[in-house]
Amino acid sequence: VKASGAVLSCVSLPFVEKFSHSLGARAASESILVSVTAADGSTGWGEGLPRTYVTGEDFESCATHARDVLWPRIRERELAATDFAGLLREIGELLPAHGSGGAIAHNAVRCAFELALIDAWLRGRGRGLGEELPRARDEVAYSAVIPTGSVESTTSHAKQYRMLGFEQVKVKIDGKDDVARLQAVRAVFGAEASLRVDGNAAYTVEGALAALAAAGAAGVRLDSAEQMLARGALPEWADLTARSPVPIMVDESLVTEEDARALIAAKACHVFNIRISKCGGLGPTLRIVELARAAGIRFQLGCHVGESAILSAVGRHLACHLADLWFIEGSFGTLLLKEDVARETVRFGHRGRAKFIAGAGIGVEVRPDVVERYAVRSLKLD
Amino acid sequence: MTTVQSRVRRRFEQATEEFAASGAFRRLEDGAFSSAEYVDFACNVARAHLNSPRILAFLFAVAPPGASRHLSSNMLEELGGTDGGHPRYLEAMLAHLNLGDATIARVREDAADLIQKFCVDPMLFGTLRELGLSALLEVSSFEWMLSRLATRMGESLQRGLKLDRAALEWFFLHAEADIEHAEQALETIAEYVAGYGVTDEELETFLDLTFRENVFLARYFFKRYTA
Repeated sequence: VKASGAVLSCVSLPFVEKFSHSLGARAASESILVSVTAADGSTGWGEGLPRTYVTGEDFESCATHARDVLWPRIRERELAATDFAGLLREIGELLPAHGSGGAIAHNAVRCAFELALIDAWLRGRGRGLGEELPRARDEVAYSAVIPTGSVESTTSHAKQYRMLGFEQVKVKIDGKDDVARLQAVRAVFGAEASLRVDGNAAYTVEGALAALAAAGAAGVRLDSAEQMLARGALPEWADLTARSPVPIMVDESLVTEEDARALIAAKACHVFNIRISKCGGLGPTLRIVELARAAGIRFQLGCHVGESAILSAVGRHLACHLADLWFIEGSFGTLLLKEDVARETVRFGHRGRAKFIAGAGIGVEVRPDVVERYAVRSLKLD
Repeated sequence: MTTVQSRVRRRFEQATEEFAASGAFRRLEDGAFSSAEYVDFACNVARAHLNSPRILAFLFAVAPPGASRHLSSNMLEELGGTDGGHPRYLEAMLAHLNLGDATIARVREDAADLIQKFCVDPMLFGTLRELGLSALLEVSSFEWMLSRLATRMGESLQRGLKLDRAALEWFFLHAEADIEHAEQALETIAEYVAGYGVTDEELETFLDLTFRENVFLARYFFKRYTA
């Protein structure tokens, strides 16, 4: 595959309802969608979700990094790999993501280009991602995610997800009515359901320990507590991990492979939350999975709020490929987005269940007219 | 009136008031829309309702026998005999918008796509009982809203696009007919709830799910056909 042109579209995909967590509320997803056209005529699509509070990226930094760093390396470069592992290695060398400016890493924009190149490469060979990532299972179950809010809105969300048959749920917490909200969710889902929390960096070590102890004292069993502290300060994370009654999961603290190594070395968590966009694409995500496995760290596949069918499809492939994922999030599709960008629906069904996706490339046909409708700016690269 | 009817009525009223107070609806009524925006609005209405008879037929099929009395008459009225039923009024409106065959075809395709997605997308609910109630609440909410606002929408289009009233018959027909249909819909919902043993808590959750967004804004101000 040789890329002859690309378009980076910054899109704002509106939500059906606002989604809140401790770092803010959003009514739309700011996403970047990249289409790469190969010299053989095949087109590939990729997606990344720049979040200033995750990787430090925004639309502006994505466009700049794409124009000045990524595209000059991709343009007219022949991807000579003949197998998928070779392709990931080749793209790994081709697309740097190390941080600059305010960015920890330019992972969202790197992810968008990496996935677009993978999609084009696969389509050029008439192959699908599902053929390249050996399938460990045909069906996966996603978790529900409840935003922050009042006890009443938490209860309403819990009941809605329960009606849809979910058995695993993550609750965003922020220190306001944590115990009452968690008790309400546990009451709706019952004793058997899996319940975990995500603090999105809202706590100190002592605050997190107190919150988890309070939940335990109230009889709320939790399977994990995610990103209770801010990114950084590994000794604090190690302290929390050593003292916590609940397995500690890192999310925003785990952006790069270097983060993964440092977290492992510092014994700073029990669980990794890997997200394809946050981690820079499929290649880096798989490498972080290997680091986790080697260190005996459990891991889940997370998602950014507002991922479209592109990242949802790639996530599905990964979820079907990795049998040892602890939990899986994503594929909300039109349950959250007013409109998705692909012809096919990738959204989960009842009980959060969703099947393996067949088909060429990453498995979905993106509709350029929908991308155009929600684009707030676009950058043509040739 | 049963508790079920009053609870559902309150939600319908809230959604209708929110729709009427929205910036988009006010601009529609105030003549602030461009011609293209009026045409887009008309196309979105057509997209939303061209296949209404099919949805009513589905509801008729899944409703408990005790709840199908009004649904059958409503469905038969929408289906019509050999005259094309209510969708013929929407087709007539499209024909008056000077859209061109390709755009009209796109509206029809988009309307068909809604049915396609309804049937093909993974089901979020475990049984047809739940899917049916979800669809019944949404369809009924439109009947309720149209019985209150269809005349205002029709007259706005009449002024905005300088169309004859006859071209917008769908709006005026629904304004008159749906006052009765809206009341019947509340009865049907109460009968459905009773017939399938839907608890108060379940009904509240269904209402929360249905009205997570304003369905009228979502359907009627959805996309552009004139760009």
